[in-house]
Amino acid sequence: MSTPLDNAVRKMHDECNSYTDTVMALRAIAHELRWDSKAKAPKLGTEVSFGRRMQTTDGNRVSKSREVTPDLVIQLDNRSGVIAEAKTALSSIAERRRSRLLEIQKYDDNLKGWLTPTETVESHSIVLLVHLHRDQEVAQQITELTTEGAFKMDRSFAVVSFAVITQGKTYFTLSLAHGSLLDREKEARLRRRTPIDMEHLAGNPEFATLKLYDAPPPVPLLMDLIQQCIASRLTPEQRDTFKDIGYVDVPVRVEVLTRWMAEDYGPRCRQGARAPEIPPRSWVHDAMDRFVELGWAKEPDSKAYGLFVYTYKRRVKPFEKFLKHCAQIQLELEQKKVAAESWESLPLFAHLKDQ
Amino acid sequence: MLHRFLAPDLVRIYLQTKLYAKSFAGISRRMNRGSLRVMEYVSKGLIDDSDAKRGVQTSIVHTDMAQAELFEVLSAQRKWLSSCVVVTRGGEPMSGRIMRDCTFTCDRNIAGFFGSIVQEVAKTALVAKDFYDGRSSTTSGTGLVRPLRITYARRVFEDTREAPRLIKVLDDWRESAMSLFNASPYVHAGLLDYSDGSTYDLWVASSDSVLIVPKTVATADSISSLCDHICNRFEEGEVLEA
Repeated sequence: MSTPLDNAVRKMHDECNSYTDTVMALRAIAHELRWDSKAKAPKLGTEVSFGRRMQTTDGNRVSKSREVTPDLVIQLDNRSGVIAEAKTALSSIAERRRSRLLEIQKYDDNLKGWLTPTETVESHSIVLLVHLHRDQEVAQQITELTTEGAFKMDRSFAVVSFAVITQGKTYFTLSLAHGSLLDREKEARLRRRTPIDMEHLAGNPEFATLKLYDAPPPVPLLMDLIQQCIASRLTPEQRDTFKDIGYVDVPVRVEVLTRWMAEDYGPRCRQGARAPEIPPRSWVHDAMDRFVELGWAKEPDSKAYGLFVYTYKRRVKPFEKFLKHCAQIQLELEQKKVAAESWESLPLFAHLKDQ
Repeated sequence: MLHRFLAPDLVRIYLQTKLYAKSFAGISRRMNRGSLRVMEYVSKGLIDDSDAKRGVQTSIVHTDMAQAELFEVLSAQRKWLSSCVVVTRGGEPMSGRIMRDCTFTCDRNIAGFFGSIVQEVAKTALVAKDFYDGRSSTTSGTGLVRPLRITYARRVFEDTREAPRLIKVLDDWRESAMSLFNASPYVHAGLLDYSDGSTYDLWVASSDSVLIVPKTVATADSISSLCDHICNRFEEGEVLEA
């Protein structure tokens, strides 16, 4: 029989898989939209940027003159491109989805930040990526929001769903659930549901190391990347110590670790000043706090904020340990929340709350 | 006494059956007189019994066969080689054992055995080393990783028991840790080799291959060891460019 902790671990594992699938979906749509099926290679001159920082105009309906960070920017040529945003953790309740769907209208603007001399393009399509299990609800809701006048797109807008299917081979499929694209040929392909070989996506050298995008990953996933990142950056002396005594204490500053993580797992492309800060320092700091709770790292001096000493030693099934630890914390938080709500519903007994 | 072909500070390379065959064929061609014969070999193969808990069995065969015949036998039996004892017959007498991990022992004429046999095998092993070099994002020279693939002649993973067996095998890989993200319907795991900080993503997303994607650091020693571990403990396949 499953315990509440088992269920929490399973839920957290699902969240990790959902995050990984979303990154794969972004890689898949980037691959598909720039793929030249005649040449069987990416179209020459196309550029892909994950999480590029763009600027909206005064006329933006949602976010005037602000910096926005679409999950994916595909520059097809000097005149056109595609902006894609992944929304995977969408609620099953329409009202809760509403604001997240309306938000995507901020990309329906003459955005600045494209890889052209003027940093603008004549036209671009906007793609909303959702998981297959939500695509019909989202498509229906977009239609309703459009009818009521709350949702309006002047540019081509498409809802594209993704899913993983296995039939001998594992494929990542993309399919058009609503709307249209500027590129009619690609639109037609997506209408037919496009299967992309998972191995091809996973092994594509251009995107193979991309693990993080603009949304925070579940902490166990980030912890796993951090332990790998630290392992890859040991000095020869640290490695010798590890070989001699079986462990080595590695002092690491969060800002340095954040830079390593960005280099190893963040979006890597020619982005210059428009490069996104992925991961931000706060994600890494939070994950390091979890390592401290687990006893894998220490904060040697509370005044030296952001300095940790990570103990590098052989660990068995690290990801499972991260999952269990984070699920335990999540469970405790939820239990406290439920308890607090119970007290609120019993005002006559409120004086007993702290006893 | 056990000897290693390659200096200890060099990369450890493992001989796949194909490399043994290539080396021995080269040695036979270069022999002026006599022939190279196999007197004993240790091979591994799959256990074809659904009740078996172990996936792989080891056999030791004492024989006397021409080197080329050994590879025909192994191929027909779908087995792979762990080590073999070879002798020369009809020419300069020498004998010794060549192990899969590029170590050897010699019981007759070490100078001749080293010069004529070991060095020839080492040449082939060093070519294999080049294949494993420069695959991580920091060593490829382009900033991009160079994934590789272990391909099988049959659809190994159509049998649903095989992916869990591979996961178990990966769990036993030297000083390493495996993070299993997904076990079904496809396999996605992260591997960290503590001995030198090499890291990988491993995918099984088709029925006949294992994809290995090196990350920031992946030394030739580590990749070679990982591929050999899979080939020797799970099933020997062909290691190819992905």
